[in-house]
Amino acid sequence: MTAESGPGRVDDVGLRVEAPAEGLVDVFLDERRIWSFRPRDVAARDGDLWVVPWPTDLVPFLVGEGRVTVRVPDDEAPAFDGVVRLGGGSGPISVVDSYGRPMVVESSGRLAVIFGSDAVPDRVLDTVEDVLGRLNAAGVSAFPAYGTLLGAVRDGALIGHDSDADLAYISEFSAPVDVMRESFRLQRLLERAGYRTMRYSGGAIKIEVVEEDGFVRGVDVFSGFLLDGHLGLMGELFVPFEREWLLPLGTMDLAGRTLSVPAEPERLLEATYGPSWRVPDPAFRYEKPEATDRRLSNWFRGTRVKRPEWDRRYSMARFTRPAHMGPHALAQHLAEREGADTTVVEVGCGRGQDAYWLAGRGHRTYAFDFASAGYAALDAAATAEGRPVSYHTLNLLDLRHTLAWGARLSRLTGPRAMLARHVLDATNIRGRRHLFRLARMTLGGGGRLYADIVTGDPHAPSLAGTLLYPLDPELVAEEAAELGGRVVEAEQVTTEHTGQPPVGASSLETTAYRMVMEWGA
Amino acid sequence: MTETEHVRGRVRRVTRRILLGDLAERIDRLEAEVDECRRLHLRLAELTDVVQELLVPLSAQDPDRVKAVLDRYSDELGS
Repeated sequence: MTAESGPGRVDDVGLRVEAPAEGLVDVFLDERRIWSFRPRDVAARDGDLWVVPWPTDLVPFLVGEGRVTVRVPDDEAPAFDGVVRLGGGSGPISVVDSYGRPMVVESSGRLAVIFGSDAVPDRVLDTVEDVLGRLNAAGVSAFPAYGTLLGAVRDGALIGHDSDADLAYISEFSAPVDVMRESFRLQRLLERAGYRTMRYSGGAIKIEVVEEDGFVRGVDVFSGFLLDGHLGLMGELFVPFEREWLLPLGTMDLAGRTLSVPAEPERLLEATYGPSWRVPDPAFRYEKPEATDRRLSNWFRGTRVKRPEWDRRYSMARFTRPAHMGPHALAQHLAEREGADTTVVEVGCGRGQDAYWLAGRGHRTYAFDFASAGYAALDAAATAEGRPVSYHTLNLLDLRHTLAWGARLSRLTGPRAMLARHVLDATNIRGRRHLFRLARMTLGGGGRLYADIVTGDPHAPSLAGTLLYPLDPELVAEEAAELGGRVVEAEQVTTEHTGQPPVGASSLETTAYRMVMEWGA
Repeated sequence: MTETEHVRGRVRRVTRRILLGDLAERIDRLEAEVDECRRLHLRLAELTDVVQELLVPLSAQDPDRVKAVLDRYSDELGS
């Protein structure tokens, strides 16, 4: 180990450094910046030093040896510089993704592959240019926003420490309901143009751009509108603003492309980043006034409850757990009671193994989940093998998904059944009502819904990390009855753990409450 | 919470009630009602979208057209 310099310390827990509370601190691994933060955002004070825990997402990568340098940008000497051994490992510490690309902790605390200063992400820029053209032709006024606008105005390039591109448009509508209807229409327009999209809220979508090496980057499209002298811009702003500061749009160069921009882009940048927007700040955090957050959330949000947590779980599960696992007990229960000619509709299929197994037994199967990362591997396998199963994204919290798929599934012929393993207890009341609505539409000609839920103490150790919330079976029965469902079977069963068993659990078994509900002809 | 803090809190609450009547409660209630109204925008937008996109094609009662419209609408919802 080489000599350490600087007053700070670095260990498995984190950093202990001297730095101004409001100032920026950069952390380098082998001379590459991996993290920037402001002590007041992430640290606790201990005498003269700030105690800064490593970001949770970074911890799994901090195994081995590496040279860590901690710098306060204006100081000549580093706050810490030395080779450290972390996590009990011996090889070099490497913070890279599965493609070997260097990752950086973003201001949100998440790890991301940033644009960096070398490569120009052509496909992202192609998408930015094309989507702006399509949106402007579709009747809204579209331009780069947030970090992408900042990069264009400041440097004529994408910001090196950014990881995705942001676009926005100004709607001619003022009422949020109309702004959202328009956003739905524009999403269809982009899907029809061949883009794969994901909806963040009623006023924001992400376009997934697959780069040449298979890496997926996001181009976010945010709705904006003018209402009572204010600019509302998803997902951060509701500020006093003049129409003339935005329209008519001007143009500006970004990495060699001429793009439409607001009439006075500086006004928007100041409203977003404050008066110091010209100074680069990789640790910048939006600090939304509570009133803005309430306003935008109540108008536009509510369809992504726990979605980031499930996405994260599945993105990690891909690396840690095989997709080809056997069926759960509930799927076997269904298979024992339903004929082989029964079409099965599974909602909340997760990794997709139950649908895959049921299709292997000859059931025509439709499998749905709002997070496609979970089932991607078995979707590909089932397609290659010609199994009679199709996987789709369906968001139970969005009425449009529920009604459109309900109408589509209502046209199925022959006997059908539904499977919903730990879905009712993973969603909220809107999701439960929509599931029962979907069941009513799908099983209207007669059929059963098989569901497992957890009951009892919400703080039980067996539920830690499961993302499940215990329900009262009587409440579930009442909610189903409101939409025509009748409980025909209900019992406590011994079944497998949901997700990973809790640390220290001696058994893979746990209990669930099983409910079979029937919809009559 | 220490006993002193507890007592101070009570005094504060009682004082507030005496000075402001039930004003704070009314503001809380009004905020909740504003939130409730705002939340209807998303529901109304979803419902209107379904009706506008599907109602007319479905009322045409052409089975092939109905299937095509339902398939396309659900396939283009994104994730």
